[in-house]
Amino acid sequence: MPTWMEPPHSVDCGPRLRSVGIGLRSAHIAEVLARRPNIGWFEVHAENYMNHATALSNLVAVREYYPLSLHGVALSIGGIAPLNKDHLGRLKTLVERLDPFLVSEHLAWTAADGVHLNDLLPLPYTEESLDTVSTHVLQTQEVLGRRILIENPARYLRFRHATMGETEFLAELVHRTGCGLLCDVSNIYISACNIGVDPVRYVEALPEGTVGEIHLAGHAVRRVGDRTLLIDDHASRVPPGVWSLFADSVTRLGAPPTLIEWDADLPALDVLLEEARKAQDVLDNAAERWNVDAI
Amino acid sequence: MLTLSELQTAMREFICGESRGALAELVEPDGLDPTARLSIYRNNALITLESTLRAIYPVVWELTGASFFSFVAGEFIRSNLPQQPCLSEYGALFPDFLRSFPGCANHAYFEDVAKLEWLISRVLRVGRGRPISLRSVVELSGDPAALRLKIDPALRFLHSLYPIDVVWQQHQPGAVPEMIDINSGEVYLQIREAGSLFVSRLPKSDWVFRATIADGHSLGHATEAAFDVDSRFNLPEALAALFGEGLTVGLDYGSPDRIAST
Repeated sequence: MPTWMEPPHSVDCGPRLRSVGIGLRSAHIAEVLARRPNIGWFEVHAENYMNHATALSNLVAVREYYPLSLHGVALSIGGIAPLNKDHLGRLKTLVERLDPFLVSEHLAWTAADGVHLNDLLPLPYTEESLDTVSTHVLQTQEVLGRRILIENPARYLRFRHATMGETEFLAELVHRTGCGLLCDVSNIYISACNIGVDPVRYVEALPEGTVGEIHLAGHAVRRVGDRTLLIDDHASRVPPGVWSLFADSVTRLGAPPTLIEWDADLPALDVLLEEARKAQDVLDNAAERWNVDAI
Repeated sequence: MLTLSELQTAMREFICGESRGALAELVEPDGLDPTARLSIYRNNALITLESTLRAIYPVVWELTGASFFSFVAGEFIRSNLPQQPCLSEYGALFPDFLRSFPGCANHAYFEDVAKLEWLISRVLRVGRGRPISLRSVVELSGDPAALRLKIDPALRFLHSLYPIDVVWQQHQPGAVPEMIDINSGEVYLQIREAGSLFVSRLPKSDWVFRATIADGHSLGHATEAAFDVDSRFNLPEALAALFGEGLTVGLDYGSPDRIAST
């Protein structure tokens, strides 16, 4: 049995505990290499470096100075179709080349009937979905030879025929596969607004010690009919409500490596570094509270 | 209740605009029309694909204007959904779609500008090969006419009836706008990434020579093709330039491997 399958399924964050990273996009790579900013690590979307020798060679240069986290967006872990073996093979090649300290994917599906929709589409939380996701997570971990983290989605709907809640689904997934969790605090906040998830109970219900990473990002506010919906667009600063939820949750979540995500309308690198410093302050304050509590 | 397979097919159909069927009945309203909730996923998927096309075809976006580009991209996406998980592979058929799109009938050069942008996006992705010297050919003992040269993978060739290189250049940052006579004649272009991006015109015979080699044909075949278009074609000069510019990265005799040029 691989080590990640052995109970109690806790995630060891190692030296990156309480460290903050930022999402690295190609527009910032030259500046990062020139300035070498003081940041704990970078995360990249794995697909941006598949079939792209030029970008990969730039990323390898970044890897010489910083730890990397690989975040997949197109494996379609929740798809009923078998995993795309070519795509999984490309992911394995990247993992071997970059030796990332984290590899993650989403609790979602992106492809059906041979069509790749390139959006993180929702799953009904049923036994059938759990079987499908578990099989695919196990297969991915076997091919990569390591534990992966699975990220909770931003939700815009609930399916009537769901037989369990999202946290129950994630807890069972961890139990069956030994995977860790990527807790996207922004997505919890968005789901709270859009479908009425209780964010505090959600965080408390996540299996203790299994969160290997936190994501923080901005979202858009849209008026649909007479409802306000939040859209996960990663195109602005982390809003106050998400900072507050992060600060309230970070102790319960174990202060794992925390990422500032920003994908669209990309700002100057300094803006991302500023957001990262705010996240670091929250983590450091939490650590101080732990020390006081321990006395 | 739908199975997971049925649900995912129904959602794919909804996003593609084919039907919504029983899907909306599976969604809790939570104070909103279920179709409005489902539409968020459709909008997100379509926005992502349109953004991908805009990133690959920025000059076409400027030529057509944002609204028209959005319209034509939407039509393209509906009939050409991605078949691959990596978005970077998406959009190869967009130039062909522009050719057949009624709104572009009076702007035939849009298609060729799009082809140029697609090839640029390809050469920017592949790594450059390591050039070999002309001496490698001289030292071979076989029939030179049967020799196949491997061209740098970061090199592409494109022929157009329109001066699309000038059109493309005019839409680069810092370019000074000038009137372009779009019917000023055909161009034979070489597109190359070599530290920077180079889009250059070649004489027709040199272009035919290089493009034929890049298509995987023998040196003899490429020479004949070049002579066919211009009897003054100078083989020694063409070979010296091919190697001098570092465009040749390998060679072999009679290899069945063909090197794609697009």
